[in-house]
Amino acid sequence: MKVFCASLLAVGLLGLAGCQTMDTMSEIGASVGVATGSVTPEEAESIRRSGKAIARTFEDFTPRQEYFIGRSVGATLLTTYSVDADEAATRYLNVLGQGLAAAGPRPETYAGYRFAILDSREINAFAAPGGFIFVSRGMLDLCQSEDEVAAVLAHEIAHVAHRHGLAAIKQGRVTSAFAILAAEGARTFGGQDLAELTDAFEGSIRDITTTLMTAGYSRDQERQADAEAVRILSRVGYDPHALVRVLQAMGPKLKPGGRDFARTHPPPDARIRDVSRRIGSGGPRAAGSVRTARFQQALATP
Amino acid sequence: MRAYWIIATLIALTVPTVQADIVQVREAVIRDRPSFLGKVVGQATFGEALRPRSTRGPWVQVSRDGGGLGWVHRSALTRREVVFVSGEETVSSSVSSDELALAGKGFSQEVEARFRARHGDAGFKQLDRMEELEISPEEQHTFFKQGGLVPKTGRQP
Repeated sequence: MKVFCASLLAVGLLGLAGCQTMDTMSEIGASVGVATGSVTPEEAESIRRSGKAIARTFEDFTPRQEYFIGRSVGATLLTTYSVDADEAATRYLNVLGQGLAAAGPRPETYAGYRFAILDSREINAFAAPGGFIFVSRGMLDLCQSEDEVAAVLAHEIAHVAHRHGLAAIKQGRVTSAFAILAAEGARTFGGQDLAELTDAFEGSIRDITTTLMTAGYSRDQERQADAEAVRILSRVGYDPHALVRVLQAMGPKLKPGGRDFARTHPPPDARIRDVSRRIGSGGPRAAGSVRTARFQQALATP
Repeated sequence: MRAYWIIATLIALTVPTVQADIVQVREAVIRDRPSFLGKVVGQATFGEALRPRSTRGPWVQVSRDGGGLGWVHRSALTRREVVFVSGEETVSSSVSSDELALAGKGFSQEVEARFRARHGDAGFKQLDRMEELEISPEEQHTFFKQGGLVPKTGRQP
């Protein structure tokens, strides 16, 4: 009886401390319960879940979940485009890109940033959640220097770092997915749960690929990605003006009504204005002979 | 069930807990200083629990099992309260790994398998290839250095 009263008091005091404590309490209680063998893991999970807030957004996806979303987005993209098998060029892009990503605001994703070249003359680049980044030959052909390739990659890395792809998932699907996950006793999924989860997953993939290939990101997101790209380039030591040069080169070559950046991005002029303002004064930095030589060797068109 | 709550509450009031940073990526990079230019001194794997010692900006200084300190970017970590296993300096990670695994249970291997069953394998094989390409820290460092990209001042970027 004394024990009972003491514990009621304790729960009462803790109740005043609010949701954060409840979360911690649930975890601790569940952990201890499992450790002492007084609850099953399933019951422990149910206790954990009941202590957490219900409202979920795309930001609640863990890096591992984001990774699986990104894989399926990438695989879907690859039903439209094929990968350029050029190993030297691909390796070059990965060494360059991973170095840039390390200097970005979210250097660590579940499986890291990975780059592939798409065998297409369109001017295009796609960033799937988790860091699977695809750049077309057409885009690479526009680039006259390693700094310009870096600018293209930095922009895509910024989209991943800021989760712009995940943000495209309709809220209804996010809510469905987390509701299924939160279902009590859902340690292993029954057939119906798994089917519903797969539907939510498929819908999420569709939402993202529609954004990447048709609708494009919002203007704010594009502005954010350009601003972040400038920051990343500067931090690593590349010339941020390279982004302006790529945008300038892009303008005349985009095909209105086509599938390239004309469809999914704001016109280069608008982006150039924003980016130039951000870079401000300060002259461009010289690239040096090693950088020039390795760029030409890796991406020389046969 | 009621007995459980009584026991759990009492134990929770007395058992010490610690903050642990749990690795939420496949392999977290550990560096010798809080900068992307810091030398890579090790890796921590998914689910591993690290004790945070201090922070600088987005970097967390952690201690690992077997001693040693290093810096990990917070994007690799998720913070949890975990039960401190008395008598041991290191933090028991099994509970948090469970939770991480469960949190990842939704959009995970199972769902990908069903998606592939409906949509085909081909693209996924390409993605596997993308993931297989490994660039070593040494290769990365050399690329920066030879390209004249490492800041010369030594200032922390």
